[in-house]
Amino acid sequence: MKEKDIYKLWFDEENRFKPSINKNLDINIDMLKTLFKGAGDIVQKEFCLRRIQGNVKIYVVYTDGLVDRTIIEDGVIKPLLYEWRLTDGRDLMESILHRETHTADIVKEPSFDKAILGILKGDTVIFINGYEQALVVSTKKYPLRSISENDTEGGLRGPRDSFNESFRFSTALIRRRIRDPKLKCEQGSIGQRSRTDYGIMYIKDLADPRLVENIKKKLNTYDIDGIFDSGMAEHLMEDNWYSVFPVFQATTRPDKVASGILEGRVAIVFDNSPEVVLAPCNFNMLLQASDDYYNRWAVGTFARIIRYLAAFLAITLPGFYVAVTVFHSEILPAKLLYAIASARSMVTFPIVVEVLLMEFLFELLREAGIRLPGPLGNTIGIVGGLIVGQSAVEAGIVSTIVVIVVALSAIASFAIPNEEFVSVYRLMKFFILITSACLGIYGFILGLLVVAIHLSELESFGVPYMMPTVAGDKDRSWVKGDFIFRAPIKHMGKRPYWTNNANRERLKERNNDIRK
Amino acid sequence: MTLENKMISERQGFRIGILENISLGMVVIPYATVNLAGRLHFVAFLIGLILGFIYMCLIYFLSRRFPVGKDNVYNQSGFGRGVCIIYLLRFVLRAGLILFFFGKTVQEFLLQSFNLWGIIIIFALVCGYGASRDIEKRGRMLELLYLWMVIPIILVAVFSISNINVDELYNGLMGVNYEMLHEGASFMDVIKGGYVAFLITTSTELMLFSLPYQREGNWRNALKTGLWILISIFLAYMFIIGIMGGHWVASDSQAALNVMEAAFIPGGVIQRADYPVLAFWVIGVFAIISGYIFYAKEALFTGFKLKNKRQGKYGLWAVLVAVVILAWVWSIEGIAIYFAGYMLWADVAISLILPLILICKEKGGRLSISKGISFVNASKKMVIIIMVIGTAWLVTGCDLDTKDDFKAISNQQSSIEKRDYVTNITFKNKEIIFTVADIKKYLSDATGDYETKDESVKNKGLKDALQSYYDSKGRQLDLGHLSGITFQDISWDEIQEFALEMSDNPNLGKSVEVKIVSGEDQEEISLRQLIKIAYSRENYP
Repeated sequence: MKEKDIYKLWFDEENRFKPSINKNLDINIDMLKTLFKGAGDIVQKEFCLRRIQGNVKIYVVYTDGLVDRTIIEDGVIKPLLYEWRLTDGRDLMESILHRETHTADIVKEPSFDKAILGILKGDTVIFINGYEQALVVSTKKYPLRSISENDTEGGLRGPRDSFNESFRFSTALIRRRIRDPKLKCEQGSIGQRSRTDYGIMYIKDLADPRLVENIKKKLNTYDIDGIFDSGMAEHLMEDNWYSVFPVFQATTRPDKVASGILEGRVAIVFDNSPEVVLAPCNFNMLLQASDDYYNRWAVGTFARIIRYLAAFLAITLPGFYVAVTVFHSEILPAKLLYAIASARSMVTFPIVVEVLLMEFLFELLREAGIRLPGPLGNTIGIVGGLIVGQSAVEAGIVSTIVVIVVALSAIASFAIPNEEFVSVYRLMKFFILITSACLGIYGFILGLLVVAIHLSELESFGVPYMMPTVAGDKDRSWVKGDFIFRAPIKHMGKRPYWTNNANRERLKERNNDIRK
Repeated sequence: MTLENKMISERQGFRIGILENISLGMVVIPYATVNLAGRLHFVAFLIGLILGFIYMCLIYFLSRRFPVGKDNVYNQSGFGRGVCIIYLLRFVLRAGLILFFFGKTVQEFLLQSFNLWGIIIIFALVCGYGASRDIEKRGRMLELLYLWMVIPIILVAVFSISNINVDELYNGLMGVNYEMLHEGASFMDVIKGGYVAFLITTSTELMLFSLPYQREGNWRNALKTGLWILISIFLAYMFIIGIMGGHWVASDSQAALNVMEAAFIPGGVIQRADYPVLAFWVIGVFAIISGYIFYAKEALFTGFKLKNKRQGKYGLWAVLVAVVILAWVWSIEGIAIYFAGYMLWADVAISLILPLILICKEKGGRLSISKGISFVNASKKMVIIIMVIGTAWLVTGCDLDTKDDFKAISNQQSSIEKRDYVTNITFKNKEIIFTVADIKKYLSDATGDYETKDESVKNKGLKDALQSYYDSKGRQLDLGHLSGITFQDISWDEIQEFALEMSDNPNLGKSVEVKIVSGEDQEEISLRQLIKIAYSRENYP
């Protein structure tokens, strides 16, 4: 039979391996050899166990590079072959499972498909002649980078660790922060071919069960070849596919995720992704940073005010500049206008072209900076910002004021703590710039209006995206004192309204009898 | 967890009510009452406000009679398809009217060189987008936009309060020295003014469509909303009369928008606050037009029993196209007269009669036409008769004349470095001298100061002078940063003529200092004050 036909015969529509484990080990070996033909990284070895009852053939399979060889050799092969020779195990499988191996993480697996999946995940699978089940020993040891300092969501105060690409490390970092047995981690896999592991983490009595169900349902709605980052899964789970605004909060900070889980939110951890996503999420969450809560309330509030202003500037400044200088120069104070006009006297291009050119130049530098390795990326920033910018001004391509406007809007965008959100702001900036260039301040306000309409209709798992500005009733409103103003922690006694209703209180004073 | 329940909260209801009703009333009522009722405009205004309040009470009592959360009042009423179609047509017509006048205002104030229909169509599309969601999302949208509009208005009010002349406000409200405004304002003039003010407040009828979706406490909220609408209109009236004076208001249909120019922002960050505030006023108009489109769409759904999403989309597009077509129809003077006639009597009559018939309906039961008619006959007959007679009289007797709208002095939009910035204008005999800032040396000098040069143009009017300058030098003169005007040895009639011409120029700030020099005498006055005097003299019989 041709290889193509074999695949058709063995795999179902969802790419699952259909045959079951055969009692006859040779048949299993044949299937595995055919299946992994050409896969040089799959190690397959047949052993013979000597027992009182006679010789028993076993077949050990694992993926080289994904396993910890010490566990395989010292914990499985050595004891089976040497330490337990000529013993009288009545049931060999039970004996291996409970006595003969030096590892706790070993299970029986009746499904051939799951056994193969185990091999591909880094487990070691032992097929035993005469059994319709296999033994799966957890021997995973992936090539991983260690847990490093967070370089995308930094802060001056608070923990510095961040998630890495390991699913288990990520769940461990969360578990380390919440030692509550009610913290659940429901695991599954997504992607027909990538079979990426994911875990839905939540606290049973805090998360709304409907939210958890909804997330599970959304994760299982689509069949896709592979998920290589949480970003891909996020997009699959969204209701509004065409929106540019993220309705999940992706973060690399374990403390942020733990804090989210304590607010009744649900975290979804994906293997191979250093970003864990939290749902539900809204606009304001994406503008809040972890250290807002670690610093004193006044400092936190001040930082938030700066951040909200920065967010507004990032999206509006170039558009407003174009609207004002091209259409309504009366708004500007006389001397400022004269300065702008004077600076522009050497510039060849119209204001709109000038701003677009400078923005394009900035985006180019940014993109190049990201693609280039670290030190070179920084060099690009310096070369671009200082040399090209200054040369552009001297050559009469752009004016100094435009350099200031574009740089200010770029700096403002960096104050936004969520990288995904920053990208949205960049897009929105161009949208507002174009509407302003066409219709002046009327276009500027229409552009903002369109964005506002869109934002007000967005939802993240039933939670309005613009909470608490569109909170509706007071009782449904946000955690008191956790908007632009960050109240002292004593005043933030309630969890958000989407938390399980029975458990909304999160801070209360203990009844201190001694003091009485 | 989820908020999705196709309902709106009390706060959302309040904000919808405010946004859908104040933007137009604040702008149009002062002009309409002063223009129609002359020196007794304040009496007319109060009458309009009282009638508006009574109407709001009617809306309040009517909405109490219907169960919450089911549908809008008319769909619940059992009137059926006919009423839906009437409302569909009314709302489309109203939206078309507002859209047309809004487009004209934006063109005149913000985009002189842009095509009117471009402005209108783009705005209609944005309104259509805003109207395309359900009531819950509309509630959220207006809840969000509310602050965008209200905060700038409050800021303008705070920053322009110093411009209110208390004496003038008192005189304005009491009609002192306003004989010149109108040749003896009669009782009928006052009624006309009051009626038009009332007509504008009938937009509160829209609350009938949003109140039934409120979760709870909507009845008290309706009254609160209504009162705030009236208070906002009242405060705006005070500001407009206090800052601009009755004569200017009578001559300028957009007086309320000119008031914004009076705001002085501390620190001099922004020289003119009116443009940004005007832009935020766009949000208020958006709320009204998108509201009419939204409720028209709802009426279309009920009237034509549209069910699925696709039909809904087509329905919305149909409403949108109809609104734009009607905006175009409003621009045709011959037809607009008939439409205006309809708006003045039939439309108001509908907004009165239908709620009155509905109010006699049993709570929660089917409509009893006979009972309704007998109710109307028995207890409200007089009201209806008065309304019908009044409106019929208004159709024949009411004359809403409008002054020619200004034309922008110059439609050229040169780039900022290709303009000459006028710092001072001197009017002298038949000569206009523009003192122009020399900005070329501005940055290189680094002293923070600039030199000026005088450019003399011999021409009759300011507009012609600007054009002559452009023709000869190829550079546009920019009056947006004018700091002083001098009238030297010219007659009061000429000064008045120049002042009126300048009042029509949106680029020119009205807070500019004016010097009137006659021989050795010199008088200083602000341009705003001068324009007020000029208007009062113009209106003097």
